[in-house]
Formats: sequence, C-alpha cells, structure tokens
Amino acid sequence: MLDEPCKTLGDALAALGRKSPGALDRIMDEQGEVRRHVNLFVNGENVRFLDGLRTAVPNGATIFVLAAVSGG
Amino acid sequence: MPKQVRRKAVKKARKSAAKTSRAPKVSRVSKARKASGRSSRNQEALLLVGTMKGAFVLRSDKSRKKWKIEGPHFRGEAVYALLHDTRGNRPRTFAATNSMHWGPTLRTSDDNGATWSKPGPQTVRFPADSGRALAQIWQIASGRRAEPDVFYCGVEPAALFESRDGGESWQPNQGLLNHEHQPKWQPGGGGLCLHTIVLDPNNPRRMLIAMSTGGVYRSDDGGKSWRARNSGVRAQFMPEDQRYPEFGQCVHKVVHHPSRPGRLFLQNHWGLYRSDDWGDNWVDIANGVPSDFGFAMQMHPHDPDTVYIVPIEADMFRATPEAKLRVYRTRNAGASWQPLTKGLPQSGAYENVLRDALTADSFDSAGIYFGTRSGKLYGSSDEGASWTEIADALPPIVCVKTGTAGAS
Repeated sequence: MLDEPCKTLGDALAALGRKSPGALDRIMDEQGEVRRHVNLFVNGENVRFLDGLRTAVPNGATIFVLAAVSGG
Repeated sequence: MPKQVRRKAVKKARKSAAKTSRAPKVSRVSKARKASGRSSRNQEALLLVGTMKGAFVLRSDKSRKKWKIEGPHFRGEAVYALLHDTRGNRPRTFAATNSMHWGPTLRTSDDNGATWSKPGPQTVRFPADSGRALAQIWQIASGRRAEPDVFYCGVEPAALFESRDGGESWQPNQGLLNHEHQPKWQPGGGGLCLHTIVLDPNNPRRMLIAMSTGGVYRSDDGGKSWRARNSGVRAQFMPEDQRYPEFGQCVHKVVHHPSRPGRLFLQNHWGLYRSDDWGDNWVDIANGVPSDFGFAMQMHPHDPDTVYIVPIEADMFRATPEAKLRVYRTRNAGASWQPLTKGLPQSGAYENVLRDALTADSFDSAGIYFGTRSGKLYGSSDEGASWTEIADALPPIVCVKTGTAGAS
C-alpha cells in the first residue's frame, strides 16, 4: 500500500523506492530500465502495451509486479 | 675442565645440535607458502560451488576425503562469483547471485556460508552518467593482507569496483570506467566481462585485470590509469594481419603466485602464455598440450612453477579433446605439461570447465577441484595425482572456490 500521491506508474515506483530501495532495484536497473523479464500491470493491464512507466495510476489502482518465467 | 662447566658445555652443544636438526629446510615451496600467508592447521575445508541454479557449500575435515554438501542456496539464481575471505577479525563469504528476473545482487555470509544476507539494495551500481547498468558480477577478490576491508569486483559490462568497508559499499574505478579503449571493448561468448583481478602483494600501486574481450590491462599508479598489456598475445578471431592488436584479445584467465608476482600465466581464447615482467611481454608456453584453447587456469598454492589447466578442443567445439577429461599440469612454469587422469573418465567425456570452475585450496598437500558444465564436481587431495568425483548431477557449474573455517 502506497500512501503517497502518484500520477504515473513511474511515480509509484519512485515512492516504492523511497520505502524499500532493495525492492525497486529488483524491478529496474540503475539506469531506470525495467528488467527484461519483469512485467508490470496496472489494474490488470500490462504497461508494455500502455504507456510504460508513464502509464497513469488512478487512485486506488492495483499494481502487479510479475516475473515472466522463461528459460531452461 | 671442572665437571659442572663440562656439563654445561655439553648441554649447550646438545641444545645447539637439536636446534640445527629441528630447523626446517627452507625450500622454494615453503618460502612460497609463507608468501601466500596462509596456514591450514586444524581447519575445516570449505568448497564453494556456484552453478547456474544456485550455490552449494561443501565441508570436510582436512583429509578432504568425504564432503557434506549443503544447498542449494539462492535457488534458481546463477552464481558466477564466490569468495571466502579470512583477513581481519572475522571470516566473510561473498556470493554474486543473478536472478533472470530480479537481476544481480551481492550477498554475504558471516558464518562460513551457512546463512546468507537477503537481497537488499544493489550496492554495485554504475553511475547514472555512465549510461551502463550492471548485468553480472564475474569476480570478487580480496584486497591485500594489510587492508582487510578492501575488496574488488569485476563485472559485466567490463568494469572494476572497489570496496573499502568490507563489501558494504562499492565505487567504480574511474580509470577503467572512462578508459579511451572502453567503447571498443566487445563482448565475448559470455558477455563483456571483467573476470580476473591480480594484485601485486608488494607494490600497492600495481594491479592487473583481464577482460573478454579487451585483454589484459595494468595499472602502476593505484588504479588511476591503465595500459593494455597484450604484447605477444594473439587474437585468433581477427583477420590474419591484425592478430596481435594492442588490445581486444579474448583473455580467459590470468594467474600468478604471490611469492613471484611478476610472473604471470595466461589462458587465452587460443593460446597459453607466460610473462616474466608483469605482462609487458608474453611468450607461448603451449608445450605438449592437446589444445591451447581453454578457459580455466589455476596456480598451485605453494609452488610458483606449478599451474593447472583443462584444455578444450576448440571454440567451435567446446569439449575436452578426444572425449577424455584431463587436467594438465606444468611443474616447470610451462616448459612442459603432463595430463592428470587418475580417477577421471577417459572415454565418452565431452566436458567443459569454465574460467572460474578450477581452483586449489591452501592445505599442505594441495587440494585441486573443478566443476563441469554438466554438473560434475571432482576433487584431488594430492595435488592432482588422483581424483574423486564429489558430486555428479549438480546444475551446470560456473564457479568453484575454496576456503577454510575454524581455529588456525
């Protein structure tokens, strides 16, 4: 649960980073790129097909961070 | 001579004779052992094995005949670099873990690998203005003995990081980060990795690193500036008239012995070399090996003339030649090499041993260990004369390191 005002997914992740820097480092690298095998969903929609980190996050939205499992 | 004086004289002579007979012979090997600064009395042997899917910690008494295996730690994560450090007041063990999903982190253990730190904030990180992001940590190395809080990390994309607080925080080496050759370094098969860190134990301003591909670089000013040191090392994958460039070689591993630090041995992507002048010049020492291609190379812990390798047939066929799993050893600094085969499969063995998967321990009768891409782990407690299979079905092994735990 994030209590800070967030307009976009990027804002929400920055807020997460302030709360838990370790968690943010798992989601994106030090250049701010979302890791290749991590998928982010806002209210059930994969942001890769929306506006990426600029995807709007309405109040009360649910954000999912999922590992896209692949490989052998 | 009065009786009492004579008795005293005899006693003195006996004492002196006893002292002489007790005095150890100072051989080349024991001198070298002293230089390596390690002792192995009453210690538990540790074997740290990094695989594509986690790390295993193996323990044995100093006979090193039976191993108890623990793990996997970091289930599902690749562990390309491990280090057990016993300088300073406490042991600290490092593991570089890399999750396909959640990225690379550095983990530590202060109880000899039994329990590990949770993944926290990423401490090895490129500066924002470099435009680069950490892909993997390939090497973790202890600093010099006089600086027990100093550690180094070699990473992908090729860069060197240094910690001066026991591994809590890390800073990139600016001289390499901004090196004029940097834009021309190219990734080898495993990525553009800085995988080898060699320190001069006597001169704190001198160190040497190796990367694939880029080659060998040396600093003589404490890491401020770096010069390519690849003279005589070939780049087989270049057009014929460009096979000896200043840099760009695909060096796979460089080793030396601390008692004779300026003499280096190098396993190249095609080529076995020695330098007697800290890398200024390299000479070919592929004398009697079935192939001079290979990845792994390990120095004997006590003898500066003895080096181990595992020749691989070719870059286009990365398997042990003639389907025989053979470790080759030189005992004369590369003048000749002999196969070590006792206890190793000599038919049907299409194995590969990667650059950090061959190692040695510091016991008096040196233990040599290696792991294969097919997940087999072999060990020798008699310097390679005979081998036993310690584990046969681990995930692909990418890193094998040793350590000791317990009172010395």
